[in-house]
Amino acid sequence: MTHYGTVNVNASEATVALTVQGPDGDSEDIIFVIDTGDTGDLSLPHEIIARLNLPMIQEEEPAVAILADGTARPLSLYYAHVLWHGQLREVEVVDISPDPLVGMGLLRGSNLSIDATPGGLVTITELSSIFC
Amino acid sequence: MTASNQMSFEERERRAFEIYESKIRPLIGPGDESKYVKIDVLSGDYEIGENSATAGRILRTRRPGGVISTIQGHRPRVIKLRSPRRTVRVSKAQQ
Repeated sequence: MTHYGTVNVNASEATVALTVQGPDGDSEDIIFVIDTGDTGDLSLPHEIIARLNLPMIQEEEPAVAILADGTARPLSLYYAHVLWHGQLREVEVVDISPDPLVGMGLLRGSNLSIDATPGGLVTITELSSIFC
Repeated sequence: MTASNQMSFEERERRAFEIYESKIRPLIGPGDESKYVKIDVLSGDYEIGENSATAGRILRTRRPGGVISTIQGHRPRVIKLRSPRRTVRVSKAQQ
């Protein structure tokens, strides 16, 4: 299964739309920026986390994030499902970013291809389907 | 107050690493370093998996009220966000 996305008009961000589901079954289609510098699964703005009523993972509080300038800060982890390669997959979500981000934790096991031109094609293909 | 927020981050990580080194590390063979190791530092129980959220959910179900730490690649897991999202405005004088 392949997810298709696009590169934005100034070719600075690759994006993909994914469906995120909360514990009550509510879901939202959200456009994520693909961020290979993020080692987690997903980052979401706090308002979306609240809207989907995502549960906080209390037992692992606080998790720690290392930011681009090397500083460490505690952050909250939340639990969600995302429709990924045709199946609902459990993911950890952090609320540190104002924009939705897909990190390498979720991309693991996939082939990511980006045509880095304005409006370019983004494909994310499950690796097992490539090699099967 | 839960056991999780009674324990400092440093103490949780110290206990987790001790448990990991004493009984889990020998189980992590070559090629397994990318797996997530979830450890309840109160009971010593652990869960190993490819998906951090799934391994955590399984261990939390088995050990409700536990204090869970994550190790990956033989080190405490931290989430690295190397590209914080910011809007950068460039003034005309700099263009």
